Amino acid sequence: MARLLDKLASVKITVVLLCFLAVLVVWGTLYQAEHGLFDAQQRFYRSHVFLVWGFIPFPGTQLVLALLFFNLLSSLFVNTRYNLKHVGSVLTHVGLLILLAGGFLVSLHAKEASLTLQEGAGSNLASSYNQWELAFWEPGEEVAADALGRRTRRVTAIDAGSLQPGEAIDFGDLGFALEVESIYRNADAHRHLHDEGASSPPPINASGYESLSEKPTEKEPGRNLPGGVFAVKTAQGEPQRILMYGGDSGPAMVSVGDKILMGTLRRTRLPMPFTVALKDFQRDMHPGSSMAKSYSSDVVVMVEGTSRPVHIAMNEPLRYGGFTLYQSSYREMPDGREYSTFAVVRNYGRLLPYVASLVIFLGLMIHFMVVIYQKRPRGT
Amino acid sequence: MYRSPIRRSLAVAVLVCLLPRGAQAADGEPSRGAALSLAQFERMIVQDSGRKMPMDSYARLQLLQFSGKTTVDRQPAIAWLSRVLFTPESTMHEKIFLINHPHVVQALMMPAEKRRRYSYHQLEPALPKLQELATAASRMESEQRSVVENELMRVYQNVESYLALRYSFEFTQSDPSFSAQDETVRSRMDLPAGQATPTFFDLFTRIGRLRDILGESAHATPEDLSPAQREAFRLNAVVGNWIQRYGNLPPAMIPVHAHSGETWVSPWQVIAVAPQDTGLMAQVTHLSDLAGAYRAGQQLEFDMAARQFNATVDENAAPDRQMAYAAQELLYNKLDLFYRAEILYGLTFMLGFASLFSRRRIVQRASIVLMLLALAPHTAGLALRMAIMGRPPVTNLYSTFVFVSWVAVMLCAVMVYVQKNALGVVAAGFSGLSLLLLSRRFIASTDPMGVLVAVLDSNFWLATHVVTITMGYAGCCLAGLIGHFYIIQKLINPRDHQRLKSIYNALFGVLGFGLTFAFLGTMLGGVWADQSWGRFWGWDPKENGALLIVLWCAILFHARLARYIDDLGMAVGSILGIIVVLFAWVGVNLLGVGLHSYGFTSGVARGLFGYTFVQLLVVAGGATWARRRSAAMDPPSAA
Repeated sequence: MARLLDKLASVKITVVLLCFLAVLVVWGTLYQAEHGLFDAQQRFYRSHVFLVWGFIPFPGTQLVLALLFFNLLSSLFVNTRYNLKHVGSVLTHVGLLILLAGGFLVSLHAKEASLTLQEGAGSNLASSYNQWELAFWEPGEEVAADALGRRTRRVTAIDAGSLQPGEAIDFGDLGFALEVESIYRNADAHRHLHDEGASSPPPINASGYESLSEKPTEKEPGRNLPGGVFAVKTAQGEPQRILMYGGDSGPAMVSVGDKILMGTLRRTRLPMPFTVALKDFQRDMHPGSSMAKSYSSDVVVMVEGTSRPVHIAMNEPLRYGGFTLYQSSYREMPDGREYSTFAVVRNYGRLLPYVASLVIFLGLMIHFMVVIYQKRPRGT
Repeated sequence: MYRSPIRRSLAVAVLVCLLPRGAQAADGEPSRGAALSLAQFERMIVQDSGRKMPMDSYARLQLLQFSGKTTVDRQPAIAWLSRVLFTPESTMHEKIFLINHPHVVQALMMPAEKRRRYSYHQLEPALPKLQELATAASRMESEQRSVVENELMRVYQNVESYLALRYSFEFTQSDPSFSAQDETVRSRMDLPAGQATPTFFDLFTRIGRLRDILGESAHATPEDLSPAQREAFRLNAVVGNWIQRYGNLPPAMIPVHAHSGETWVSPWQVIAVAPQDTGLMAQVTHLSDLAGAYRAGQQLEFDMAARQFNATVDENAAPDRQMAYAAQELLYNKLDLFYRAEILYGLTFMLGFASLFSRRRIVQRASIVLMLLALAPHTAGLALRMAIMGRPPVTNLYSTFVFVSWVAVMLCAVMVYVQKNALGVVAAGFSGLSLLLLSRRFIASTDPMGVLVAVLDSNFWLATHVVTITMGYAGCCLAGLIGHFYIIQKLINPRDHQRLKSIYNALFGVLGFGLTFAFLGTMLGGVWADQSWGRFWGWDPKENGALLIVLWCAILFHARLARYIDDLGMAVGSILGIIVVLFAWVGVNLLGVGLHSYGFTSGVARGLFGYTFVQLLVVAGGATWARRRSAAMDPPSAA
């Protein structure tokens, strides 16, 4: 056991792992130029193992970082001498452990979404950049009104990201099951000229689309429009084919038993425990130029009947209830209407990297000061 | 503003060879204004690219944008600008338009110039073609544009800006179309009689009298008009026509108080929009007098007009930082402190080098003094720049080089203090000179004191993240330089273990400094990203570049600990570290845009690849040779 720990704590392993990490960093950076940030993150930085040319396995960043963590942890038990001379080194490595652990925690829980508001409008629902969900609800079944007078309704939604053709999903409480006929991460939808001799009736769709074709995914994952064709199966009656597409103009209607249900494929909603309304968006320009000096939004935060104004600007986010809203972008319509977009992040343990960084910096400072002091030329 | 020492001495040689030709004026009438002192003119304030700056800076920026240099025919930018504004014809033949891509030259059917710079006279026949191609290019998606299309657009925009400048004082130019042919009109309007051709402004200031003549014809039919009235109609139409054509031209140099705060307008805009405002028109009159005095070569009148104009601007403009520090900016331009530092660093390097071979202490002492002397203008330049901008020392790519150079020299000074030998002096001279020279490569792309985009507009984060990460760059680059010294020492005299050890110790310490600050800078970058985008780390290229420096240093230190590499290996590793730093510093910027942009950036890409290639060869060769030499000198058993 002790020998195994010795092996695990070897500084040679550290060097090898750091080399792997360096390779991943360079490779992933170059890969981004071609394939975009999102794909690079998925392939190199959020993976444990990935395949080169489809068959050679290569360790992903998550795996390398995990191994580094254990290498480091065991080295603290084996190789490290705890004395005044090594205070800096110990501090540095303990800080690194916190940093790695913190990064792991954050990656488990962090949620990123965005919220776009027109001036005068408000919402408590942020929507994901690149995750989509299938949502069904009964129209008219509205439950309560929030501070803005918006109705809330019960929606049954499932994540659309992992669906495979042939898979069946049970919407038990709504009384039907959904079978996936085809599903694409990015698709084009088509309307056909009406064909008199068509063998089967076109699928149900709100926008009149009749078929989908797959498209290569975009560099910017938020631009993908997924779509799929599904069969709605109920206890009685024929299955109904339904086409749901990210670019649909509205929800589709299906009849289940004696009820009519609405269904749509939409960006996954992230509900916030408060409502944000946009009062005013401002953009200041550097005088006499077309270069922006700053962007900011005046919003009202509404929680349980109370409201307060907040100013959100670049580098000045709104933090509330575990959520953070950042000024992210804006849109200006030709008719003067302004929209402001906020990045919405839910993030636990966000202070861990701050603490870890400080500890590591102090450690490095102390370490190199001590080393330089020892190496100084003596007695000239 | 800038000449490298080599280029300056070359320029002197060229000057001597070409003196007889260079002494003549370009073409046509000799421009008398060339002899005038522009001291009053250069301190006039212009608002451009989002900030207020002295005319001298404006001239430099415009010329840099056109030609990539701050001089034309060895004359300062301000002299060139004064000619463009007041005697535009005299600039027709000056080769100021830099065209980087040979295909653009071919497309415009021009004979290629060796120095890649062309005059307006040469470009003029090709303007319709240039416009056609540039317009087509501007309609393309920016990602679709090739280097040629980008260059076409750039050149076209420059020609447009040049023309805008040329006509921005056109109201002070005599023009035959304003000569009243009719004696009655001339006398009633009190236009200068005889030979002198009136200017637009002569006519415009008498527009009331012209309107009087027109008013008398209110009820006349076209056939009834007297010759005088016909002439009045013609003149009125020409005036209207000119206002329409030129009414929106820059430069904005007159402050106006509007509802939304202060705005700055150009003389043409005053003429077009606010002719009834006597205060503003008085300002334009001063400018008109200024132009007239310039053309007549009257220094006294020229200075008078400029003084009066400046006094009114100083009185009217809101007193903000840019106004308050305009004089300092002028001083900064004039002193050219970084150029002075370059020369002193060059001398420091030479003297430090000499002291390595000299047994006399005095040489070493002198080299140390010289190093401190060189630091003085360098530090003063940085401080002045910070004061003028009200910002930390690093705000754009150009200023990173100036600052990294300064940090590297400061580290060398510490090295000299700790180790008490000349190694630090040599390193200071070399890194100071080379990095300042490099910074010149990046000055042409933008206003070196330019305003910042929204996301960077935070002095706190600029002062913490940006400053610390560039300190990290400095440490790693300097460690690479010391790595070179180590290999050279190993080649020259591998037996001098004491000196080898002292070089190694310096390398170790400096690399440690580099790692510490590169790490801190990287993490502070994460904190900033967390504050403004909501995520600490996103694996984007700039973040990865910074991380790579940290990883590389960490690999070196751990590999040394694991005895994978020895002292020589550390030296080689530090040298390779320079490549890693350059990748993070400028390389990642090329990834996104570099594939499509030409001129400035592609030159950088070429330089980067060239440097990497040469450096790899030198290191591989040097290290192998050094290893062989020490193996030959020390019997294997001793190792």
